[in-house]
Amino acid sequence: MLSRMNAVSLEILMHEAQNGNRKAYHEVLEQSARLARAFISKRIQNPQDSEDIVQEVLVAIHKARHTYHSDRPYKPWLFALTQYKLNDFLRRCYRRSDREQQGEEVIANIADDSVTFGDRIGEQLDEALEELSDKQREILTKAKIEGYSSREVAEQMNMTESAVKVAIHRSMKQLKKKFEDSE
Amino acid sequence: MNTDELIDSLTEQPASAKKTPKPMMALFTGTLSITVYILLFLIIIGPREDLASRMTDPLFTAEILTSILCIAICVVSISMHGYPDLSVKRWVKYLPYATFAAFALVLVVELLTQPTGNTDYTYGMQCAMEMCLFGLIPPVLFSLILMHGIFIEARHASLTTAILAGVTSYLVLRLLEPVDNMLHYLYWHIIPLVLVIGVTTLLSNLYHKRRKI
Repeated sequence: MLSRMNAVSLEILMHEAQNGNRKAYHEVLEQSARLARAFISKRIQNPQDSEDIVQEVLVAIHKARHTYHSDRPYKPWLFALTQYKLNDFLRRCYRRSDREQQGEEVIANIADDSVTFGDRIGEQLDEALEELSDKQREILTKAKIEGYSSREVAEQMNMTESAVKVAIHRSMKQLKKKFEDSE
Repeated sequence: MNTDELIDSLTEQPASAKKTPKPMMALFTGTLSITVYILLFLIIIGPREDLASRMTDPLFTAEILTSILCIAICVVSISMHGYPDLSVKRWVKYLPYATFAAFALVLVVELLTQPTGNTDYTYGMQCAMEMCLFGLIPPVLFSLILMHGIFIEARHASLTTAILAGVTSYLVLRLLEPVDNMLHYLYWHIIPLVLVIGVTTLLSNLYHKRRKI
């Protein structure tokens, strides 16, 4: 009963919002954020990522608000956008993890080579690491040499996990480019 | 920026926006446009003279009916694709493919069973060009009807638009041209049909991706 009332009120609120009522619009966005957060947190463990997606959903609601008609229920419209943004996020994650994996394979291949070759590569790796910023080097060392997970690095460095992943990805890309150039 | 700040910032922007037409309105406009488009050709150029007698052939009738069904389903599906909550419905996404498969099946049966004879090359290139030209208008019509739509299923929307374009041009030409040589149809109608679908899918995908959020 409560949920039915909530659904009805959301539709009325959205209708009001579409007619320029800012207070109603604020209420719609707040309630939508709550619903989207509940939907996403069941599927995404990381609260920071979950909140990022909620924000993307809110922006999507704002951009797509003219496609909603109050004679249709609001929640399916909201959850369609939420699912879409969630899929978008997961797609980005898979792509990123693929690229990280490729970078790891490059380093693993280097480690598998002969000792002499390994020494030379080791020097090159040191040089390449020197070219990274202090922060990038620290993140990369923690994640790839000391074996901390992205989340642990994020906690240690007081950053978000996404930011750590991006930093690792960029550093690996930079290293990969450096090795490719030297070849 | 945290979520509360984002909500405040979005609220400050004008909340009122020009609404897209209601789905039923889009569907009505779409159906009317495609019907008028096909009828215009039949009125201006005139249907093939043997249309009535050809309709006694079950395969020809099946071909015409499945193509009309495919066009109708595509029109319904595309009309729903501009609305996020409707575009995720399974039947909106997949039904056009099923009807297109039925249409394609009838074509294959016709190709295998109908007489082929010599290919009429005189009008061959003209037919292929007409197939391409006739297929241009339906996607343009729907991009105008759903000008303010938001496409979260861009790939399905593009493919459905392409099927609509291809099958509409095929149907128009089938109703106008008094040729029943299936080899002619294969070379100058069906291969251009695939080409129209391919090119329209690419162009339509570019358009729909721009309309994503």
